[in-house]
Amino acid sequence: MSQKLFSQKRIKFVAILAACILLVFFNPKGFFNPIRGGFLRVVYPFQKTFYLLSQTVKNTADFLGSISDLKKENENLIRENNALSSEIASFKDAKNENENLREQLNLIPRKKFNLEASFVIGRDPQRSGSWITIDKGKSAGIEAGMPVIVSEGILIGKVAEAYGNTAKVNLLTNSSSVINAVDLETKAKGVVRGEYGLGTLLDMVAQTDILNTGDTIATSGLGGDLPSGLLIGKIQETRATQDKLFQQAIIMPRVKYSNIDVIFVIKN
Amino acid sequence: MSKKITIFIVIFMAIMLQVSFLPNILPSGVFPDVALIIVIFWAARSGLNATWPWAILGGLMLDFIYFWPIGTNVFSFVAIVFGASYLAKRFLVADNLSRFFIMVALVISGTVLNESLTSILMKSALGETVNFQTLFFNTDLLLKIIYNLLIFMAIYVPLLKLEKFIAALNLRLKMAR
Repeated sequence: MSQKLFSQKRIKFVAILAACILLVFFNPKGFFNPIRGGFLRVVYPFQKTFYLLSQTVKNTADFLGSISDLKKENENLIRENNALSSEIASFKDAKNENENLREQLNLIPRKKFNLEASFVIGRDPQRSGSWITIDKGKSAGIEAGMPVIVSEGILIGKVAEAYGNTAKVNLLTNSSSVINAVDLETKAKGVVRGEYGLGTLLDMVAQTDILNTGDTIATSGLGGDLPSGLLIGKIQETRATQDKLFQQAIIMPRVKYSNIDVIFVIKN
Repeated sequence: MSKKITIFIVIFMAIMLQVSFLPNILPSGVFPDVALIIVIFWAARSGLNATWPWAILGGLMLDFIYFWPIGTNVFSFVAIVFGASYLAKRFLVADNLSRFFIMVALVISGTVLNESLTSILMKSALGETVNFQTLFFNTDLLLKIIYNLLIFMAIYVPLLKLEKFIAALNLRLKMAR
């Protein structure tokens, strides 16, 4: 009986599980980072190859799916092209106006950013999707803490860990993400926190400040770790905290994080 | 040696497929566990002793690549390998169809167990509360089971062929000695 209970197989099994539990709960922070960094360096070319392959497959599937619409799309494009030519002239005016307004709002002009473009080569396997892996790392000058944006100056997160050729980016929805933010319409200030991968919340807004549904939320630049004026999202819903001391607002992100393929890391 | 290299390549490619290929193809945000399916297949066919080192290796690689606390996936994979090999020993029957359906049941239970174990370990390690209601009753888990079954059906025959190839390789090596 005891021989069956303490068979070599079972002892081995229990020992492995116990070792795993110890590692998960008592692993000193960053202890395995050098090994992880080495491993990520080795798998980087494979990750990139598989990513490029997936893009080819996706593009081919999209192309095959759209063949029937191509003729119609072509006609629409010609029409659109004519309309856009006339719009360019009016945009030139808008551009000047935009630059003036950015200056007045004390926002950093986009061209001042030193951007490093990068592809997303890995994602959080959990639906909550609170981080992504990008194909640039320390070798491209990327360091932990750098803000990450998508094309139109929309903040999506910060670099959490940088390795040789890859880096982990914690998205705004990550529970560890805390960012100083401001309501661009009412100037109400607060912090945007990740909600365990489920969304983002503007918190710690004073009761005297005004928050309206639909207001645009951007980084405030307080604390100095992020430039001001990077868009975060729009207010979807406002509410008071349980203790009624502060206001909170659920933020609707400007981009769908699961669809992001290309990002830009702000290096300066 | 060449057998070990072959198995390593298969597990490594499965992980790359799982981490960098399928997430870009599937827009739902839920991705199949290719490595887990392969480990369950081998555990059911070759037993615990032959599979647990590969379960540890696969789990470790996933922990590194997912930035999870080291040991999370290893724990889950080893527990599933133990369970799959134990059940397979008792329920695996001779005819291929029944064997296939038992494997399907193992993949479903393995998916649920992997999802639960990794979520519980991750959340406990981060000091977050585990909500068992949302853990077991959500559409993501159902979608994951469906994806895993589809992947299992797609790779079942190639894995059987690989098994035969490895057996032939072993035989050739023995004869050469």
